[in-house]
Amino acid sequence: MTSEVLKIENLKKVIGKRTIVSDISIELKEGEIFGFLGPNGAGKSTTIKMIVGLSKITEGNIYVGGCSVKEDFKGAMQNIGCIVENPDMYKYMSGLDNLKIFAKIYKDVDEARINEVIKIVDLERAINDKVKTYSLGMKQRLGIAQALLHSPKLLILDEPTNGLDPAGIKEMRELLRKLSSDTGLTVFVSSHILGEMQQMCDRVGIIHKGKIITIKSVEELLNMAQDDDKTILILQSDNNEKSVLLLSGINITSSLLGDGVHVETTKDRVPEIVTTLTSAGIAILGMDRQETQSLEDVFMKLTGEGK
Amino acid sequence: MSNFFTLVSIENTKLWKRLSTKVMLIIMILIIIIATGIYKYYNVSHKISNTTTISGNWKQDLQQSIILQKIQLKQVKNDTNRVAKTSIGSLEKTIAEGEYRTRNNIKPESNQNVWSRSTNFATNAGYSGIIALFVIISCSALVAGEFSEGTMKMMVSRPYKRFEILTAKLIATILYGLELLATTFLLNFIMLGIFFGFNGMGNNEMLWTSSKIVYIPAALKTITVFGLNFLQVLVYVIIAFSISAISRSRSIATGFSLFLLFVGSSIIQMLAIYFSWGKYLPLGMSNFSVFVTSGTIITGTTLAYAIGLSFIYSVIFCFVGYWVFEKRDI
Repeated sequence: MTSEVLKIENLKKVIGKRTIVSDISIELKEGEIFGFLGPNGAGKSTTIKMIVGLSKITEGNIYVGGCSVKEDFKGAMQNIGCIVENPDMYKYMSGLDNLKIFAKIYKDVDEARINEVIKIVDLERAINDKVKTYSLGMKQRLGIAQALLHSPKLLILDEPTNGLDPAGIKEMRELLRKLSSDTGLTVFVSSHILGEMQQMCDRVGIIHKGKIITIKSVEELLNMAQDDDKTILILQSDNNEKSVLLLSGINITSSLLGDGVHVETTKDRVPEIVTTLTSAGIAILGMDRQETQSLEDVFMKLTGEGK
Repeated sequence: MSNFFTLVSIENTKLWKRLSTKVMLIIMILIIIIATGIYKYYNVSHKISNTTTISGNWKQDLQQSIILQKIQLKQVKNDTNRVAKTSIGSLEKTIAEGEYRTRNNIKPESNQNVWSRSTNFATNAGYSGIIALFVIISCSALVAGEFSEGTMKMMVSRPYKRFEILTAKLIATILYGLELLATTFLLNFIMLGIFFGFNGMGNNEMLWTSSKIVYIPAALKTITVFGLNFLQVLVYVIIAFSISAISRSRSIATGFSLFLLFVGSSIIQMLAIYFSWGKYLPLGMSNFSVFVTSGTIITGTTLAYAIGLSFIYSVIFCFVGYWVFEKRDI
């Protein structure tokens, strides 16, 4: 048995003549939260669908907890809990009935476990209501509940924060963090919203046009962005218009925006800016660095999209 | 294997949790109560007598009509018009019945027994068509409906083979069909018994097997007719099931199967009447109970042939449905 909870080997998917994804290789260790990042249509869902057996594998193989999806499908699926695309449940049933149905599939899931899971996702109040009355956030939580029922080794979530409000996203993030630290659950989560990944994941894999561009820890990726020391400063002064004019005099591009003057510069020129402005009699009220050091930039840089 | 039964029970739960499943059962019950009630009301208000008088020389009368029917049969057989030939089956059946009756000295019943009353009424009321309609609706909900509701991916990503999931769905629908059939059979029998009396429970009746007459308990004949009607339902359920698995569209599956049930089968039957190759087409002879209740319409076909042919076509439909479901990306 390998120690990897999920092992994807040279995965390839071809539909007709179109190659959807190719050369995907990912290994996930126990207790890790892995972010699978990519723009829409990059092949995230296709990859996930192949992991859970919804889509046939053209080439390569996938092992979940040591079981091959191709050869030992039942074994592999026993180790997986997942939500693919949307948390679609039986709308005409209550949340509890839905969970009962899925609980029947697995041997060791009893009433107590169902209640435990409902507690974990904090859905006790609405569990007897019909699913069609649920909000999207509640459906997501019910989806996670059904995925956790049989205490799988690997939890796969496809865009779990889709349609959630900021509070919901935060809750989801905390829940996943807690699950992985408390129970050693491995989480594979896909998203196209980079900010979420930054705060949630240990490692991130970036997929673009069907190929993995890089797999790195979140820290490593953030450092990549910092190499470049160009920053944008937000300057507030008693005369913003004049500041822009003065700065263009010393060859520094700046623009006047709602929250102040956005100055594009490098660190070593900051003292120069300050002297230029103060000597012209402008009182500087504040100067902040705009937070740009995010996955967003790394992503854009790596995929060559945007600038 | 126990695993597989769990899956069937899961599908069964899903089916019964749908409001429409319960509503359809209630509709079925209401239809039977109302239909038998109207029938009784009609009989009472028109003072239709329950009994018919059988004359003392019924045998001679019967022998005479057999002679006439034989002449008619000879004429029809020599007729070049294919439409005229449709009566061959029923003539053969009537002659065989008459001869069996005279030979074994079976006096016609003056009062129809409750079994044959319930068979006749069920056939005339077209219960099997209603059952087929309901089962087709629930079958396409269970198969195609899960695609459109997105829940199919919740089922496929489980420790089950795909064919197991599909088979469980088919079995759950067939069980529902059997439940509807049993309800119909019992309620129809009870209602007619209450309205017209439970007479002749232990009587025997003649059953036409497309080649000879067998003399069996009337109860068994009624069960046979209901069973044959259910086989007919099954053929259309399998069509709905396969189309559901292939098209993933609930409306296409329901619409197309119902079209075949109510219109398509008549068109194919017409083809089978006019052209000799028509009898190899599917569905033309899917109304199996006709073979025993009134004799075949398409010359040269028997009940066994009709069932065999439908079985082969059903296997083909099923195979295509399973094959597509097994291969497809969900």
